[in-house]
Amino acid sequence: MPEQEINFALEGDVVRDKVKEIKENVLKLIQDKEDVQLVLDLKKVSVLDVFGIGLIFACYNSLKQKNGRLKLINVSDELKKLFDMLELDKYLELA
Amino acid sequence: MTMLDDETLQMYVEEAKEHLESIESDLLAIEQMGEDIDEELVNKVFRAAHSIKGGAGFLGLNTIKELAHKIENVLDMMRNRELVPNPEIVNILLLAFDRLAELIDNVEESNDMDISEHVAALSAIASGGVPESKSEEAADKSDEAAVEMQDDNKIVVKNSQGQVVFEKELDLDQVTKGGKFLYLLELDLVKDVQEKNKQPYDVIKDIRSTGDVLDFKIDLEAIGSLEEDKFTKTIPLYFLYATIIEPDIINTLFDLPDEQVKVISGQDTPAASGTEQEVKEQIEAEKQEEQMQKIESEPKKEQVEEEKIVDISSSSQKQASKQVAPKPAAKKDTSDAKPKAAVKTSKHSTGVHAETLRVHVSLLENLMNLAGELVLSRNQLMQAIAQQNMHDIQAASQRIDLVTSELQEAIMLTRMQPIGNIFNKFPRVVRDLARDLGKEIELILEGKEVELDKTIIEGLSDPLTHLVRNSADHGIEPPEERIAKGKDPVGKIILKAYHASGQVNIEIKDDGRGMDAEAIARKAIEKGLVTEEQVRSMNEKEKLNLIFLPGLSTKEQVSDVSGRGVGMDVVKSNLDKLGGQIDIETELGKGTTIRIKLPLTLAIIPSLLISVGGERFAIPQVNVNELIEVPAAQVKERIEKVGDADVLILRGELIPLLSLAEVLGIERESKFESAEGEDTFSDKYRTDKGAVKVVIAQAGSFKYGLVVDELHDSVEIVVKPLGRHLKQCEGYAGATIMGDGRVALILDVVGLAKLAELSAVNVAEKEKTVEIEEGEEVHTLFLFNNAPGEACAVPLDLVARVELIKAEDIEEIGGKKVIKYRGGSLPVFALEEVANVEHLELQGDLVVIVFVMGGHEVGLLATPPVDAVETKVKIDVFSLKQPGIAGSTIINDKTTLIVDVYEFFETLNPDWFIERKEVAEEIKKEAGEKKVLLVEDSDFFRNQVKKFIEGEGYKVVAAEDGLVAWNYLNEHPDEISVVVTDIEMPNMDGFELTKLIKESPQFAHLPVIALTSLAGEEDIEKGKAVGIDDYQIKLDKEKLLQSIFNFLSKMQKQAA
Repeated sequence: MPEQEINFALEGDVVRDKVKEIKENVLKLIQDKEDVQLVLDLKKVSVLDVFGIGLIFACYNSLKQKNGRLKLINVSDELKKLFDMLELDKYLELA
Repeated sequence: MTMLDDETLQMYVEEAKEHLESIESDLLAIEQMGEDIDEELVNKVFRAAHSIKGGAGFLGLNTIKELAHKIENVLDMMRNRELVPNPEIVNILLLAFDRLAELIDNVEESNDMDISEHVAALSAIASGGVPESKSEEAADKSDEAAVEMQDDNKIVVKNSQGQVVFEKELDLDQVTKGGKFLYLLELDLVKDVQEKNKQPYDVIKDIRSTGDVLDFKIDLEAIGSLEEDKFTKTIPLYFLYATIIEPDIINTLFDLPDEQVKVISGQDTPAASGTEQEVKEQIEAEKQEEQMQKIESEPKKEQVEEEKIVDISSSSQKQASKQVAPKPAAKKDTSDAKPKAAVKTSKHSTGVHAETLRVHVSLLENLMNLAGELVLSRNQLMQAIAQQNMHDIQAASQRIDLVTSELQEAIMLTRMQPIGNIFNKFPRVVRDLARDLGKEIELILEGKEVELDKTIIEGLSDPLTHLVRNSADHGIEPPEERIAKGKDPVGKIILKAYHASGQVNIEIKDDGRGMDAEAIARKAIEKGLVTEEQVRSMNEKEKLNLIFLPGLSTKEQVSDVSGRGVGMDVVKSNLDKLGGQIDIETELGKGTTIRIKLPLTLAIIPSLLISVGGERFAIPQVNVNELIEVPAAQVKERIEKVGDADVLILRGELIPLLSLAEVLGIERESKFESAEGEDTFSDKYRTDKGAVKVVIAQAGSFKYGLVVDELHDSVEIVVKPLGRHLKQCEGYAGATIMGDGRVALILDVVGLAKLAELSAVNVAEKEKTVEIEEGEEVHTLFLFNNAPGEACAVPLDLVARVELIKAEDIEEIGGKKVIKYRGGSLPVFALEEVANVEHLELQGDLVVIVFVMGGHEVGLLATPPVDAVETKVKIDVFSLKQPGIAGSTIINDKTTLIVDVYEFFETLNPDWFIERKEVAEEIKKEAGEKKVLLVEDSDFFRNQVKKFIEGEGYKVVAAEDGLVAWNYLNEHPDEISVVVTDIEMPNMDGFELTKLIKESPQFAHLPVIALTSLAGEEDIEKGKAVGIDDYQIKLDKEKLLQSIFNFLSKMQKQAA
């Protein structure tokens, strides 16, 4: 069965105040789905703070529970550096 | 949180602290008695725990309640004889009470504080297990992670919650090679990064770039999923991190709390780990509520067995150690207690820091009385003023004066606390120390009731602790050693306080090894803190006092207990701050007594007012030994100059004199300066009537005389501390406002001595800086003896060679003595042939100092030993001047004659110099009557150089300073043909003079030869820049003369 791919583009500041909203949105997307690959488009992301990082991990955890996968695309160079520090590529696909 | 009524809470805390005060000594007593349980005593401790528990329950302080409850259980068993108190159990109890005290101190946060280890240990006892060392550790570990080694190369790292974080194949030795440490870092992105306003990228990059991250893990579980809300609260990251960064700075570096930085492995040498004073640290560590892990003091003895259990200590304790699996031997006690003890001790002292004081009721009543008196007197005064009744006003003011003094005294008394408050923590300290070090030590406390001002007591706590630890660690020997020496295996430390001559004395006396002054001196030399030369002139006391220099530690193996080399100097400076003095008395093999003297109070002290240059100062009475006025007539006899220093002869004792004006830099109307730059003492310090007023000041081992202008009254003054901006001034201890409203500075006797460099211990560097400041010169002198014991010297530059001969080698031919030398004969002479010195006996081994004079080699006879010394000493060209002797100086406390070599040989053999003179005459004929202008501030050198230039046949005009030389040039424009000048001179130095000369059209043609001991690259550059024509090193006579000759003949040629 082909894996279902869900795309979601993040925009603007992925920081504390916004994170809640984003979280809700993502949950809605993946709520009852199993085997899903969630693709987060980070092209329009300007700032990613610690809560943003937490959000990404939480996404990962949620997906894992549902046997899904997480992929990040259009990762800017700056963000890539941050993700490298966190060895994020061990857990999810980065592009 | 429960609503805690502040007042109730405060009362509870105070009560609880009261209960806790005596518990330590009670527990120690219980331990002593062992099986012989004193029910009453156990009951007492039980009741204390019980009350604390009760109040805690009432106030909702659950953690306190639980811990108190567990303690209660154990004590209950003890009083029911279900349990026999042994050292291990008592230890656990002590630690538990320590923790309880901490909880009470931080009562607001107590519910969040961790007591799990204590609970575990106490439960273990209660359930009948006699704890072994292992569970003891359990007792005081709170945040702790264990690293287990499984099959040699695999390690398992757990975090503070005991969860496994990393499991890796790792060769610990390899990883920590090169002095690296291995840490487990726990970084919470939310707590440690976001909330501290940092960037996650930066923080992680810092970690990764300053070491090797061997493994990295994100605690996904803690982060949770989207459905939960955990990820906004915590995002823990774990790093297995190897780096050379040391444990004591790593927390600050990464700004992480202690619990999140665990040392897994690292260097074994304690030297790697921090150098802070233990107690100081404990006080800081205390704030983080850490339980410390012990440091093995003698790992070598214990052989490592199969399972290595590496304990991770919190990094603030800074050292990992290999701990052996628990052995049955009771001695093999981990000193977990010890660091805690230190924490506890500091806590006890904080008892005195409390915001409340205990005051005797009678004292309060006295205060009330006095207040009443004051009111009455004030009323009287008011009335008298209103009535303008002079007589009554005076009477009333007298009363007020009296009552005020009494009131002040009474209030001061309220601040007096018995020294027993800090003495009481020492039994525990000593007990724990003795256990750790495997020694048997008995502590005797005397004079607990002696009272001291509160602030002094607080300030004493640290130094005393350090000194007691020193005694236990360095002083008292292990029992076997003591028995071998015929001593009682149990060492004694006596801590004694008593009053004596207006001061409080505290003695720390032990019957241990004693202190080895020589070893201390050697160590000081090794560390470069003093030079061998300085040590040579030190007596035993001064050598012992070297121990107060920073950076010294004579213990070979620095143990955790003491000996980090920072202790004693901090002790001394702490005591100095309190106005105290410290003294060491020791006898090798027998023991040491350290004596501390402290003023009774800091606030108000009786002082002597003096004035100098119209300014008034106060000297604390306690530092004033005597007041002396030397009548004008006696000045010459009683005041002498010894080398650099002036001394007063007082009842057969030589007391160094300082001019207060000079030390402080105050200008006085200076009396004239005598000719040729010699200032006789009396001229410098004379007061109007010609007498010299001296205050003999004493502070500890310093005793010296302070020369002042006027002596005034003795007054009681209130000490006001100096503002921060003035704290740097070493000579002052504070300031006060006098009766007339003016400010007077209070002199710090020790500080003044330091300013004037009278210190018993001269640190080499200080000397050097003074050298540069005063512009004095360094002379390299060759030292020898004429007759044995008669010290002589010549400038080393003049010495061609030194030979050792036997008296028999000297032959006498034609009335002259010669020796066979290098295929020829060398005439030799004895100093007595020219100068009035002692007879040199021609026997045994002799020394011949070979000089080159007038083109010939000659020898001066001397007695060994010989030495060469580079020293900054003033050469006195006055006192001992005679033919053949240029002057004298003091080297190594001996009056040393400086031989005038030219004069010596010239007197003996004038004809040698005729030849030279003839050549000079020729030059003169060709060059005309030309003079050499010699500029040099040192009398000695000026004379010497003058002599040998004249010896060549030139005429010399001598000037002792650049300015004088310049003036002379201007007054006698055509006289001078060449200028020979020194560089370092006080008023106008050689560079400036040269500049003036070269810039003036009149004198620009004059060749300027610089004579100097400075010939570094930059000086030569500087010289060239101003126009110096030639640079000559001092006293290379031949070259100088050659240079002069060259310039003169060149000029001659030019003129022709």
